Formats: sequence, C-alpha cells, structure tokens
Amino acid sequence: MASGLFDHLSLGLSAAATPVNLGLCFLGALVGTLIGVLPGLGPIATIAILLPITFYLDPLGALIMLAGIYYGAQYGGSTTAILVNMPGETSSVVTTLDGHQMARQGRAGPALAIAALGSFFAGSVATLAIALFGPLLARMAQSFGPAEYCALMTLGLAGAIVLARGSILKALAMMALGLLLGCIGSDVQTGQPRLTFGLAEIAEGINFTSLAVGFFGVAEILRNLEKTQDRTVLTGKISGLMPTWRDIRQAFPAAARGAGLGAILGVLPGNGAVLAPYASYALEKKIARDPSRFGRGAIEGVAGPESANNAGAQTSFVPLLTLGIPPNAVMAMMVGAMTIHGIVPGPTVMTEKPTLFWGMIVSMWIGNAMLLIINLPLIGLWVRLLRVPYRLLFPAILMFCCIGVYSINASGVDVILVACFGGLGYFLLRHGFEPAPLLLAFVLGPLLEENLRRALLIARGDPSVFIARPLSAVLLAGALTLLVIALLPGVRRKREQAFQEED
Amino acid sequence: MRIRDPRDAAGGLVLLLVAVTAAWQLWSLPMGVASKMGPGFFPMAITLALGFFSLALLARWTLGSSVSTAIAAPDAAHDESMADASGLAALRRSMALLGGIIAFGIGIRVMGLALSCLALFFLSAFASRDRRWGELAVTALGLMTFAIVLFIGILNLPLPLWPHGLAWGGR
Repeated sequence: MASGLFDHLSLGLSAAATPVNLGLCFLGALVGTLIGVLPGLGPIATIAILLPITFYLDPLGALIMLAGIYYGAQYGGSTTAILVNMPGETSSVVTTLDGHQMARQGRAGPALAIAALGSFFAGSVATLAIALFGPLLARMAQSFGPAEYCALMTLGLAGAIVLARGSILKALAMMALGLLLGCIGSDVQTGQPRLTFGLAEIAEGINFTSLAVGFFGVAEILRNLEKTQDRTVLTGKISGLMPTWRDIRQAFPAAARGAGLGAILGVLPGNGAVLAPYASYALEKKIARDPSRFGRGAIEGVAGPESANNAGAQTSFVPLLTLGIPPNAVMAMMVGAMTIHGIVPGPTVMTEKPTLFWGMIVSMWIGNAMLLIINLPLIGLWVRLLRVPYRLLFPAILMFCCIGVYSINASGVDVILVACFGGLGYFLLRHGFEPAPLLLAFVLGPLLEENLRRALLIARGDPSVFIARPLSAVLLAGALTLLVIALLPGVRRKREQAFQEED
Repeated sequence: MRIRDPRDAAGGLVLLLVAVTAAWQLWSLPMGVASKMGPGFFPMAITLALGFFSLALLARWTLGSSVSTAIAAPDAAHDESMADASGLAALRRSMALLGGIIAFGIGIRVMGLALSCLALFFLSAFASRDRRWGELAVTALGLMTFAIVLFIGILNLPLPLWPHGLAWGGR
C-alpha cells in the first residue's frame, strides 16, 4: 500500500512537472487568484469562459489549469476578505471576522501570510488524503449498483439543501426546479423531446454553462449593482509580511485541525466543503482558552478556516474522480471539461487513466506551492486591482462571459439563455432563493433519472430495493437524518442565526 | 407565529406557474409504470414536487401573521447601504444588463465580435448608477481590442469579427 502510494505520487509528479503543465498550473493559479480577488466573478463563470480554450490543450493540461483556477480563487478570496473586509468568494466569509480585524490592527501582513501558509499546508494534507483514500473509495464505487448511485445522489441533494442559506422549503423548491430544468431535452431511452417547447436549439438539453453563468455570473452582478457604497480598500503600505514565531505557534494547531476537518467535509457529497470554514471557526472558538479574542483579530480564526476551505476545495475532487458524481457546481463544470476531452468521470478514471488522475492530484500540490511563492509578493498588485471601479469592471466581466459561452457551441441561443437565467436567478435571489441546490440538481438530474429507471427496472418496479440493499439504505437514512435534523426547531434557529452572521 | 414574508408569495406564484407550464407540456408524454418508466414519469414526478413546494410557500405566506410589511421583510433592500434596491430600479437595471447580453447573442452572428462587444458594453453600462462616457469608451475599445487579439488572434476561435458581407477581415 505504502509503496503503491509513492509509485502513484511519483507517476503523478512526472506527469505534472513537465514545463507545459507547470506553466498551465501557474496560469491557472494566477487567473484563479485574480478572479478570487475580483467581486462578481467566481470560479464557475471563469471556468465557463476558459472552457473553449481547453479544446486546444491535452486533457491533463486542461484539468490542471481548471483545478488551479478553483483553488486559486479560494485563495484570492481570502486576500480581499482580509484587506477589504469583503469576501471575494463565499468560502472566505469567515476569514473577514478575524482577518480584517488583524489588518486594522496593522497586522495585515501576518494575516495574509498565515492564510497562505495555512492553505499550502492544508493543500499538502489534502493531497496526501486523496492519494490514500481515493483508491479505496474507487474500489468501493465499483460495487455500486444503480440503487446505490440513486441513494448517494439523494444524499448529495439533501446536503445541498441543508447547506443552502435561508428557508429549507425554498431550497427544496430550488432543487425541484433544478431537476426539472435538467429534464429538458430528449429522453435518453426513447429520444422523445421533453419540455423543449418545440425549440430545436434546446433539443439536446440546456447547456450547463449558460445556466451557471446566468445564475452565478449575471445574477450576482445584478445583486452587486444594488449596493450604492463603494468598497473601501485599506490604504497604507503592508509592511512586515512575516508572522512572528508566536503567531506560527498559535496558528499551527488551528491549521492542522482545520485541514483535517476540511479534508473530511470536502469528500461529502452535496458540497460539504462550504461548511468547512464555519466548522473550523466554531471549533477554534470552542476550544480556545479565551474565546473573547475571536472577532478581534485572533490568528487562529484566520489559520483554521483558511486551511479548512483549501483542504475542502481539494478533497471535493474525490467524489467526482472516484464516484463520478460532482459534489458542487464547480465540480460540475469540471465534468463539462472532462466530457470535452472524452473522459467519463468515475471509478475507472483512476485505473484506466492513472497518469491523468495522479498528475492532477500532484499538480494541486504544486499549484499550492506556487500560490505561496507568487502571491505574497504580488499582494500590492491585487490591492491596486481592487481600486478599479465596479462600473467598468462589470461590463468587462459580462463581455468575457458572453464570448466564453458563445465559443463553446458557437451558439447565439446559448448566450440568450444566459440572459434568461440571469434574470430568473436575480428574481430568485431577491426573493430569498439560493441557487446552489438548483445547479447541483440540474447536473445530477439526468444521472439520477437514469439510475432510478435502471434500479426499478431490475427490481421490477419494487421501490423496496432502495432499502433492501444495505449500502443504499444507509445512504438514504443519512439523507433523511440530515433533513430531519435541519428541520428540528432548535437546530433551525441556530442555522438561521449562523447564516445571518454571514450577511 | 411566523412573520409573513412577501417574498414567499411572489416566489411561490412564479414557481407554481413554472410547474403548471411544465405539467401542460408533459401531458402528452407516455408515463409508463414504475418498472418501465416512460419519458414522462420522472419529469412529471418532479413537476408535482415543485407544485407542492410552491403551494407550501403560498400556504406559509397565507398563514403567517401579517405584521406591517416594513418589519415583515427582512430584505436587504431596507438596509440603508442598499438604498437603490427598490423593485423598479432593479427592473430597470436588469433590462439594461440582460438587453446587452441578448444584443450580443443575436449580434455576434450578424455584426461580428467587435460591434457586439461594443453593443454589450454600452447597453449594460446603463445598469450602473454613474456612467462616465469618456472612460467607458476607452475601456470598451481597449477590452474589445484585447478580446479580438486573444480570442481570434492567439486562440484562433471561430468567431466572426466583422459584419457579414464585408470583404475585409472575417472568417
């Protein structure tokens, strides 16, 4: 086992460390940081924009670059969280609490450095965790039948519903809407058009990029345009990047706990990774000798959540690569990228394309090291970028989104669909509906339907098959427990409070 | 008692409308039975679920205690920092921004990348509160050039550059 691990990692290293792949890794990490810093442009929209470019790369290079964008964005988001008190990405919301306080006390440098070091450390832990447990999970997945897949996806959807902010009922409605949108197009078995309203352009289904860019790009921009206040960037030079020994001694245990927590939560289907920073922050606050320091610039409050979100971001590749089920919207974009190159995500990737699998895993570790080296000196540049007024930024973001979406299928209808979903998404956001469950349901919908049909066909229409098979029963019980717990009055109140603190 | 949230009503109504439309579209598809599902089975089941959830939202709104709407809507719109979030302003902004995207979507085939980019830029700029035409023009032209160089020049994507029928340029 152990020697196998090293074989795998060295195979990955030799694949990832070619000059071209190193360059793509660098590019991905850099672009990721850039969009992490910029508000209103997340990794989903960016991957959509860059998807057409990956036509020209080999599959490994393409995935390395896109993965770099993802964890780079997590990292860039924390820079703005610390300096501007504005999370560039949702994953760094918690970092604003203590990170920005540190910056106000003139300790922006150590806060940024600890965030970077913690992320790198967590990335290394997560890489090892994937290398160790990925193969185990993949082997388990090979014994999965359609019933187990159905149950697993149900668990994923339940997770997404519980983790969505706002009312559970609204999250359930969003899930249903997402599943319904996923049904649009021809039926897999009979080829009959469903819900296409006779339009030839959507006969093959709605393009996921249009949906994602609409909901996460356009709707988000419209939301940002509501705010009248401009961002205030912390002025003054950031001096003394290096944390003191005392900082490191305080931060290291928190980073280690955060990395462990994040790595575990990231594997869960249904986007457990978003929970990681909150869980880590709560844990640090609970075990701290003096909890009142939190919210006033406690370094553990930066180190823990930052490590947790990075570890979670990385291990969220595990369900995609081993089970073939994307746990969140970014991973769903990765499915798109893999499909372009003719790779079907699932347990066979690891055995049939070991270079691809291990190359990508190792590239994440390399990318994290790059982030550390390239970004600490570049912080001044990112800060200057934040001063670009939003009134110029958003048309530019829109332009790149439109070009990206158009290029994927050379289809103007796809661009028009972006506008439709942007409008719908904005309406839903304004009315307290969270888009995340919708997007996940849209991606999982066709998979869920296919497996459901197959499972019931094998069982001759007897739904007890889902309970009769032990693994499927456990997964479904898990999904049910999640929903029931979230609906308990006490938990519900706490959950609402937790999400309110975010705003 | 739960406080009545006006957002429940509007959201529930729209989703109910979606469910009804979907049910109407799916009506003619064969349903099949559980052991051999037809193309209509799964979507119809989902449609029923969506209808149920939207009715539940409407019920929650109806049964909630009707406190004056100012307190009842914990919407960000009532925050001072978001003074410009009223429904009408939001609609105006959406029209400008979405109009820009639609113009790009229709225009790209007809008038090419360069002009579509400019159309998108200037239409969507109306969604912003303050517009300074000078800097907008400079940014638009600069980014348009950048996009042309990157996407057509370097990446060689099959994008039409100029309007149809013009002999110079285009692919």
